[in-house]
Amino acid sequence: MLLGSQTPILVDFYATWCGPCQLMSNVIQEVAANFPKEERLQVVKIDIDKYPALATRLRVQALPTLMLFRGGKQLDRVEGLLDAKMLSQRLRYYLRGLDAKFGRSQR
Amino acid sequence: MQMIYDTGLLLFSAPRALPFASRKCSHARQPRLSVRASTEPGEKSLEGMRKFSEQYARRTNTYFCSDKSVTAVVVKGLAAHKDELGAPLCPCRHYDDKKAEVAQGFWNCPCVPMRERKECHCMLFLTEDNGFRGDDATISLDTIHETTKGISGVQD
Repeated sequence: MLLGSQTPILVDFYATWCGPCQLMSNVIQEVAANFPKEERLQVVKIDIDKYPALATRLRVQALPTLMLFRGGKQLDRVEGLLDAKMLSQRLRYYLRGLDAKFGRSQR
Repeated sequence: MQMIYDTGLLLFSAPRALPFASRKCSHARQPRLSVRASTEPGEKSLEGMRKFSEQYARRTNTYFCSDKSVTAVVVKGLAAHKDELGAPLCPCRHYDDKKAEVAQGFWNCPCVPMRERKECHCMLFLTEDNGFRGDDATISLDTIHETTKGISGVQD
């Protein structure tokens, strides 16, 4: 799909009747809103009932599952609920190489 | 001319179609997939799953989520699967083959992880030490309807 893009893409696999997915959706909105404007992040939500083949191909099992892609490579994958702080921390780590423990740049 | 005719016969009459032909055929035969997202559950199943959730939480000493909309969505999901498949398959998972999963039973609510370790990743049944848990394990039908308004399962 859009996997060749250099812009990081956060894919959110969800199902209509999955409770935690709704919460995750709000968390993602919050994180995306607070994301620094210079760094673009694209968010894609995929309803696994509408696209089951894709979910199977990417071996999605528990929901919600988030995957972070950039340049066609999967950088991160997490299953289950995360809160806003943990999610933004993960994003910072994988996208900027920030030290996850101390939140400081390694560069 | 004759060769083309012969090839044509071969293509159409061969029981095992040649690769090129089979690709073409399968493409033509492929039905228009009416992609069905999950549907809104019926009242009877919904009430059944609501009752089950309350009773099972009582039985296992677990609580509902402090945010009742999460509970409501999961209860609706269970009811929807009950309508669709005959059994309340866990709504918070993706399955390659839902019918096979129902027959297998691992993910039929209450699922094996829940029964064995009180692990419910749907956040329907939360143990006492869980930070998301509410103070009770009750939810009314009204609450369910109210908090799930606008989350339509029907594909537009």
